[in-house]
Amino acid sequence: MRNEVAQCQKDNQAKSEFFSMVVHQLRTPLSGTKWIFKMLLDGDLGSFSEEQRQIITKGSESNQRMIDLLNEVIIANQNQSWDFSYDMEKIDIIQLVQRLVAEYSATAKAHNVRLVFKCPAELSAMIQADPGKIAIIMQNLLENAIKYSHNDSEVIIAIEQSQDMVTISIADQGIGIPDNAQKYIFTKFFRADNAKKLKKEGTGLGLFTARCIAQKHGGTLTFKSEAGKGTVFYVQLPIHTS
Amino acid sequence: MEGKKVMIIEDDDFLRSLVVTKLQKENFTVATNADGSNALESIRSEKPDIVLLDLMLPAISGFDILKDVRNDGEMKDTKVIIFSNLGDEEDIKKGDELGVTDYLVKSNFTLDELVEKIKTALS
Repeated sequence: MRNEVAQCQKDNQAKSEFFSMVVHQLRTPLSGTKWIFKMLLDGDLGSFSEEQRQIITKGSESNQRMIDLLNEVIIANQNQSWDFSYDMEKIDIIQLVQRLVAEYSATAKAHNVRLVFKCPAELSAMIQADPGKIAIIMQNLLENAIKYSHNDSEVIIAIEQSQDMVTISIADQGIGIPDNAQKYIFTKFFRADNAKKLKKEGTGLGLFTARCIAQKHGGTLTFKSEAGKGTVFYVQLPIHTS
Repeated sequence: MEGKKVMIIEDDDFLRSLVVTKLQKENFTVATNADGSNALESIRSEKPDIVLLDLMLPAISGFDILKDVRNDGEMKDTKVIIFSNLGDEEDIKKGDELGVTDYLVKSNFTLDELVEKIKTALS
């Protein structure tokens, strides 16, 4: 039995090293093409027509999607193999969320979506959390909200506090989740049909990963949605008590 | 950044050439090491203001180079940015433990952003 456990650990280690190597090898050419596309679009390699610019932009976006996809697969792999280590510390969740909303404002603008942050001025919520992992939850939810929003709409990010929990809600006015898809939404690799129709790319791992992280923090990730009207996701996390 | 020298330790010819071109355009002086061999000697002789260090090198691991730099009496305070496509938590943690100035995953940064990171590290 001890030998089997040792062999299993050895196999897992070998798989992990292989995975790291594959990721590295895929990222290397993607880095080069990312930089080349940027140089082209910045005019560093000469000028070209508007039609050519559009084609190059598509190429650049495609390349970036590959990079984003790879990053998502890496996170999901860590989650699946329980390789996520959590460095817990006392953090100001309001500051963290505010920073992330600011970081995503350019992406939202590019999609013609407005991000609105709402939080009572007197609120101060400290939680015990791994800030990097909480950022992953928020990034997944913000990216989805922006991605599936209708043109010229709002995504409202709000923070509230009850006695022992802080709740962060992310509400969009987008395509919503059909009734028959809602019970599968946190399933690994699942994407609702209307989401796939709107955006072909996506791993279906974002919500699975986000919920795992919330649960690891003693919290929850839930939602309410209506197809065609929008979705609200609720991240609930326990307040830090010393 | 006039007068500042960057040493690039990177084995991929294509990526290295792109970074060199960009940094030279930004008025950095650039020195290179293409496989990590004799990296410490290169750093001692070139005396860069900052090192851009890949991790997967043919001759030696970037982490071993960083260890050698941090253990060297003369060069131990050299600023080093790890610039690699390895980005596991353990790698980042290892970099932190070895006193790295910053850890950047190549595919997550444009060359403009890299330049900003270098300028921030040098300021």
